[in-house]
Amino acid sequence: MAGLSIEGARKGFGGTEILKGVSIKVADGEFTVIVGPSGCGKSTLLRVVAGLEELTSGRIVIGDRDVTGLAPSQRGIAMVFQSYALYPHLTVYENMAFGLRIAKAGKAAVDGAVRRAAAILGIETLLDRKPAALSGGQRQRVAIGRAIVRQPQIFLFDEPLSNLDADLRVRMRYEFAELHRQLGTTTLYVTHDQVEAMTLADRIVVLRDGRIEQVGSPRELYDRPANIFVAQFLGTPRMNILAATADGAGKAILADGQSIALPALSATLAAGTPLSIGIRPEDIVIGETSGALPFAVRFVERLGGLATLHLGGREGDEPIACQLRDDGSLDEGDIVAASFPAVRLHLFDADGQALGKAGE
Amino acid sequence: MNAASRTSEARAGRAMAAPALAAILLFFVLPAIASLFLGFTDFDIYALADIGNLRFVGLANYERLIENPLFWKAMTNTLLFVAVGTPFIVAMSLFAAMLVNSRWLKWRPVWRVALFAPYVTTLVATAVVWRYLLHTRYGLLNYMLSFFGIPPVDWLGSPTASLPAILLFVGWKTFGYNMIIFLAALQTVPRELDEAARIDGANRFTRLRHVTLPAIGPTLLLVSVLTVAGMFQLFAEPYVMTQGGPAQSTVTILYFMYEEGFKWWNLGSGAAVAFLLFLCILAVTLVQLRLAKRSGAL
Repeated sequence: MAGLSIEGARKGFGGTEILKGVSIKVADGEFTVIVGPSGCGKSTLLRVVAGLEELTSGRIVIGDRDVTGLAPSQRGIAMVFQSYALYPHLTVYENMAFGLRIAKAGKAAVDGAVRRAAAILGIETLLDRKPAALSGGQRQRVAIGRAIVRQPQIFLFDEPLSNLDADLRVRMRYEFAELHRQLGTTTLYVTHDQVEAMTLADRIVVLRDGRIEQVGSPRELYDRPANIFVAQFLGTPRMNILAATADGAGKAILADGQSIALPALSATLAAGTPLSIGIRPEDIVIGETSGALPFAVRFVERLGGLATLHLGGREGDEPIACQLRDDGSLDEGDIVAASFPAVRLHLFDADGQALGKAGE
Repeated sequence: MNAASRTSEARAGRAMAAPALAAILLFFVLPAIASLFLGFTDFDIYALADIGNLRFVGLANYERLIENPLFWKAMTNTLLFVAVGTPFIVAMSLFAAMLVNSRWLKWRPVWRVALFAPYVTTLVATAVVWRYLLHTRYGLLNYMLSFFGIPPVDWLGSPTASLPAILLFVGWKTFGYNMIIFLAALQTVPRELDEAARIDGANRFTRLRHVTLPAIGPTLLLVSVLTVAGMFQLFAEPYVMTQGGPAQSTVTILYFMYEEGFKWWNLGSGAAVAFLLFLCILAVTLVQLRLAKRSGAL
């Protein structure tokens, strides 16, 4: 096993620069998830680490080896593709053995490695089947098995759960976590699904438009987002952002003229400073308290145990999402009192950068 | 789906397939049966004038063919064209398709048009150009060979060189069509398969053998069958370039059939040749199908 260091990675296709100087350090044995919207460059980043794309500039270091100019097979990596990329004419056994056979490993060594990996993944009974005779989840396991057999220093996963249905995705998430605990191999995992990122990662790297927006543990990113993009990218429903102006006296005036109390860190803000106030849907408190504001319930999403209320005043305004335990008492058209606890507020400046988390 | 809707769907399917089936019946099945029938008669110019002159001769046409050395010469030449030409043309088409499919090649559409162009140019016109290219004294091919110290070859005048010369011309003329079929197949091969093999340490040849070729197996079979059928039916190229010569070294089975039927007006004998040719193509195609099934391409 080894750590991974990506240093100033730049990559362009034609005149378009996809990676704009990305630097990441992944510690030995760490599970790092790269997350971002479509087109942000996350798959390209994974491909340059794999050696499937050449860097325009920058370095890739695995362990203490600079692998920037090396062929994919010489980098000590294994990759699991979104489409699984299993060889359709080979059996599961042959798929898993392919790399070792090319490396001219002995028959016994190949057999041992394949059967060990198959046992870890519980696919011993599938070894004689061809990929076409497997379900999506089974194919995914075989693809992982093929990666394990290579005994890589780094695992690379490119949106491996995207093609699975929701139930299977949940199960495979658990299996990925379990597998990482068992093998302890350094892992770089790309996804656009923030739930996968939050549940699997030791550390998350949020990428946007070829640049890193923030790096940190899931908790850090959720609690202390560096900017509005990160704040809204992580969390479902996403964080509410309200445009406001500081009044210079510890309060903010919202667009509709109502005011809410701000946390202590706002004391330095001059009156008239434009602000964006962020609050997560689960942090909004429904009920008559001092400072509560009246909102009409525009729409209720009932999820069984939880409900998401979409609150709003005027038509056309961005509704405010509020998540709470669903006791069935609230419905569309109701007027509710909602308050925004100052300690749960996130403040962002006019450029969308965090001013600091409330209460810290 | 209930029984009524299944019946109506089947009826619609039959109606839509009917025009194509009618064309196959009219232009393939009936002529094949007619040729089988005519092969047992002495159908000739007299029978054309008056059908009353047509006589049933049993297997006489086939017996005469078996005794005719020119038939065996034509058959040998044709089998040579099939055996050497098919792998040559298929390999050349696949190579060209991979070339124009590769990401690093610039001006790919231009290359595709340029390589496909020979297929759609007039055979007689290109044959004239090729006669100049293959000319013993002034030809480009001999000029290039001279750089390697190889003396001039009489490409179209030597019984040993004429067959490779025709083969070269046929390959150049036809590979563009196969190339387009291969190109379409190559574009359906997921890029991830090739990338997974690269990560597994496979070199270019191993990736071709273990990833690309199995993935385009059915297309490879289709192109092989079409090429084999085309080589069995080789006629226009030797007819235009060498008229079957020199010393009958480029007489093919179809050329022989043409001469039997339309030069000597032994139409019954020509029909027998046509039926034998049909059996040959059918047999080779069945063998190819079996091989493809065994190798897992189908």
